[in-house]
Amino acid sequence: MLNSLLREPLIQVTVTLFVYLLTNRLYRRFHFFLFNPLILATLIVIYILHYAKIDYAVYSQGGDMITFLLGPATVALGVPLYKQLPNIRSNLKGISVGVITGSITAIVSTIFIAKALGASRETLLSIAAKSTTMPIALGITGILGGNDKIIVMAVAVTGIFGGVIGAEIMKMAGIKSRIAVGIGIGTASHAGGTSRAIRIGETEGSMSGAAIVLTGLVTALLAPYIVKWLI
Amino acid sequence: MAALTKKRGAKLFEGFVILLLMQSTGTFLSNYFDLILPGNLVGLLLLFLALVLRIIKLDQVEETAGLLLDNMMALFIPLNVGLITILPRIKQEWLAIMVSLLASTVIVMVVTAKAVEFSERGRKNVKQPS
Repeated sequence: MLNSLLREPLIQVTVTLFVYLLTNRLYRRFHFFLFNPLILATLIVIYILHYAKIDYAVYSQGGDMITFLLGPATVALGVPLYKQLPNIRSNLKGISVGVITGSITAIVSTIFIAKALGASRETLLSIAAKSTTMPIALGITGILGGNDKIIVMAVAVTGIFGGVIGAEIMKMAGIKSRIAVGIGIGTASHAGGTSRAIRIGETEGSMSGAAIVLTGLVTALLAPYIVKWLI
Repeated sequence: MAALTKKRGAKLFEGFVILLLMQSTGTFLSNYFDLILPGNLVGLLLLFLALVLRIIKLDQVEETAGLLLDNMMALFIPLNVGLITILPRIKQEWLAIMVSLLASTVIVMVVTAKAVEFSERGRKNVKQPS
């Protein structure tokens, strides 16, 4: 019964979005990082599919319909970029220096460390874009020839981690400039870190937000060359 | 005036069509000219450009963009569920992946922030020697 129901793309889409709605409410109420809606909803959907004995190939009929919307969602990032324009202009030097330095550091350090620990070539290609915002990371990984599932997880982990430890790392590193704290957190850990930067202060939050899409664009332009050179 | 103000539903629809137009154009340009940027990113830049040049007004796309971006995590669930198809490889490499992600995030944060602070200091030094 459950098996035949979940073979319908309609039910697959409904269950996925409904589970997200519930986990998102839970997260909003408790704000505990392990309740991250993406991770919790994913685990619940996996459990349901497992329980109903549905293969991923069957589930992806409905899943692909949801994934399709990521295209327009990526384009939609043009709107926050446009809204951030006055912000970017007023701190153009700091933001360009930070985003370019950070993007290069992110690609190089991610690949270098994973390679030293014995990760396979395809894994390296799949995590190189981990500091960029998720839809952009997905596009970059497609160009690099990495695995789309690994990059989604890698970006999620990076964002959660940046959100949890961002403020403490900046304090430990002795960073005093509010602008530098914001750009550092936003460049390293996209929207996940930014959600925390907003709570540190207004300057930190807006600078972190301004860095997100720019880091994605710079990484998209540089990653193919750096990867070719490192792997 | 009320007749001239578009209803919310119509605005959301118009915004969605604009986003698809930008994505399609971006994908075409990316493929045709064999660009290094993926089509979606070219679409992002086209939308940004159209907003700056006021070919498209913010009002036309803002609500649709918000609808998609505010709920973007939902759109990633199916891909994330797909991790179960590559579980053996994850089991083998999870430590390398995790250490790399976490260490790199710390490194990027500190290096970026230091670079920004350094650039700010440079600016002050230029202004001060009077």
